[in-house]
Amino acid sequence: MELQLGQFLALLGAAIAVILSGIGSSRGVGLAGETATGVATENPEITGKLLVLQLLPATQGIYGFLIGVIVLINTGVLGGQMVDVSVAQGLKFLAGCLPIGFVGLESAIQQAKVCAGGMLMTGQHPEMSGRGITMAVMVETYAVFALLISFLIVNSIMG
Amino acid sequence: MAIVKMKKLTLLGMRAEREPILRALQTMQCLEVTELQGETAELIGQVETGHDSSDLQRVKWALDKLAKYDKEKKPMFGQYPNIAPEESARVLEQRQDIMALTTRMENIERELSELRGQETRIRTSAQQMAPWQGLDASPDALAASHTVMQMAGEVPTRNLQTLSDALSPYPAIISTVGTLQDKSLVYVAVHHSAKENALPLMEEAEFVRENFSQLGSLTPSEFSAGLQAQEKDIAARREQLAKDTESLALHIPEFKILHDLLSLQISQNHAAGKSAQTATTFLLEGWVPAEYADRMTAQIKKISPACAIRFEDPADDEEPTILFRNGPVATAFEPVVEGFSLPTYRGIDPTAVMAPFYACLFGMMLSDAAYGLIMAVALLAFVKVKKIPVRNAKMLYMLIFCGGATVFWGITYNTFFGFAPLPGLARFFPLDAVNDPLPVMGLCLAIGIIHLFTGLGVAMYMNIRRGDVAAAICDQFSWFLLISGLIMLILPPTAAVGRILALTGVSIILLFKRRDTLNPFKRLLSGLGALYGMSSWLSDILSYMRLFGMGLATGVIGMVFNVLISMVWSGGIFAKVFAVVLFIVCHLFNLGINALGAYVHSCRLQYIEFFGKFYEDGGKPFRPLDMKTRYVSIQNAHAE
Repeated sequence: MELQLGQFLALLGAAIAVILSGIGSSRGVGLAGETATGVATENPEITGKLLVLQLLPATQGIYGFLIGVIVLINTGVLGGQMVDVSVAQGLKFLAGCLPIGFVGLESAIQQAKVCAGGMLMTGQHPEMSGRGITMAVMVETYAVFALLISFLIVNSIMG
Repeated sequence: MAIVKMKKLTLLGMRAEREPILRALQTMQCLEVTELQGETAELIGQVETGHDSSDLQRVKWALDKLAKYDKEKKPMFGQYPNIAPEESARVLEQRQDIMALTTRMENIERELSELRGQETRIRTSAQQMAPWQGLDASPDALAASHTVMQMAGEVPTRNLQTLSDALSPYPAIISTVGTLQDKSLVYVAVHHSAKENALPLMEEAEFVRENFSQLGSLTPSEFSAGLQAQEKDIAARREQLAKDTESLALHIPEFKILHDLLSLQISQNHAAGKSAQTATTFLLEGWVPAEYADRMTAQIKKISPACAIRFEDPADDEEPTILFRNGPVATAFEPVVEGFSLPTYRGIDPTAVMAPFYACLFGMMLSDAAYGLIMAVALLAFVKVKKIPVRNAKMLYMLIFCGGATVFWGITYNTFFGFAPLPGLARFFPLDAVNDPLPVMGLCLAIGIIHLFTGLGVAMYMNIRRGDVAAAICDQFSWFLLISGLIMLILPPTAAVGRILALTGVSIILLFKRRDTLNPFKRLLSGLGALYGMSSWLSDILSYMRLFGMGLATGVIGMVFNVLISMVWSGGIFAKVFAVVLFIVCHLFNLGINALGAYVHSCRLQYIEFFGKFYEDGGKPFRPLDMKTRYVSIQNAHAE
């Protein structure tokens, strides 16, 4: 079967969602991890708290993955047979994938910086880890909003 | 919800009795000694006891060194082995012996570091000698001849041929014994008669003589063999020392007990150091939970009938430290509050109000009945088998409750390992986040509004308790009217009532935000400023959309795993086994990552949205003089 332009646009959208948010999370988790190793060298007993902080920027990548998979489900790729997708529908898929892609990319990196700061704070004052987490989660809000909008768009196209 | 009421203890006693009194207080674990203020503070003196902290440091160091031989696991969740008083007494008698063992370990460590130094020197020499193995003569042998001048040295390889040619007319021999990078190591023999001619030639070829100062009568290979033998000796010695250290591992239990006894003694000294003293008396102040006051008086009087004890309520300008006392369920949620910041003494302990919301929000975000069940059952089994009381593992208990809430919401969302197994239930719980998201989003916002209104209610309660009814009405009740009025405006049947409520709310805020002036402009201006708070309400309410987003993430990721695994499942028997393994791993991953997400986002909703409405923080935790130790639990004993 020949590839339709609409199908291609939908798949491109899924790819963008996964790629951008994945880049963001990889960089974020990496950046946070660097700080985590440093702080853990000084303070091995708080490693658990550091891991929580390191994992926070990982969620953006998961959100992007989630949107990508919803596109694949709704276009039937995961059902084994990709359905017909008009160009207009394909463009909608593409549009729906943009929020989580871009916001995921930026917010993961920014969140990682807050996490790294939180780790340094936790290293000095282990009892303040809760505050560090809260500050990092502030950034996450926007990734969650982007996920919601992406989801609402992507989920409303076929049907 | 309760912050424990504190009394201020002032204790004046005989200095000779300070130690037994403090020991008794330490056993009671309910006095936090505070620094004295005012003129008595000048009398705070050096406490002269035989226990300085250096012994503790040394024992701690020894334990760290022995840690790798320690078979016993580190006590978790407060499950320390109990040490009877006789055992403690026995260890204290052996204190000198244990400290002698520590000295032995210190000597071992010193010798080890000397060995390390020697080894480095040997390695360096061996490295220098390695290229010279081909030279079959000792420096002494080289110097022995009176007629021939024998030398060893290095010459750049590129000059070697030239030098060899240049020397050929003279009675001289040059032979290569080894190479080192771009240099050749050579042996040169020149008859004394040719010395004057040969030496300048060699200098021209950049020959550098090696004098082998360390070797004496040994050839390089003999010397290297000697080095190897030395290295072997060092290794053997080191092994011996390691064995010595390991043999000390036998004494780890005594080390641990002594460590803890000393640390108790040190914290007692620390408390004594905060008291004031004269030649014969001492004065001590501190916070005691009010309910223990009588028991404490009785205990102290038993030891020292003569001393004067006074318990007072905290003065208005004093801030006692904070101790929570909650029911068994709410206690589990205390870490959430402690993770943020403690309330002020005259504020409110939000734990009990927050607990049901926390579990509910967590459940909505994890939202998979099977995950909730796994969490609740596994953790419950763990704490029951290990018999961990709630105060030692509050977090685990909290997660059990959260797991329970997750089961409830999982059934509501009809999600079980990412499957939707009960289609019949959809009639009763029409919540399908994937196919019909709007009602679910509405529900999330509704829960958020209830949560926020509860926070507002607590703020009202606090104002009323303070006797400030006007503030309760103008600052909280007005918002309650305004927000609920606006919500009713959206729904047509209640729009009329909603308009009245909203307008009432707005007018109260506009007119009564500022109540200390009659100037209408100032009042209106403050009111308008307060109305701007509308935007924060909007963002607070929208923030609860994360409940939907996180719940969706769990469900959809689980579903995606199932779709992928079902593809594997369709294969043969090995594929099916693989699919089962995959199923377990994938869902554990999903459980882990989403439980973490649910935990942090529930915390955020409590800290920012909920606490923002009423919480007055800034308290310091109650840290009594206690029996907290690192390795063992000292049973009602004392460090002497």
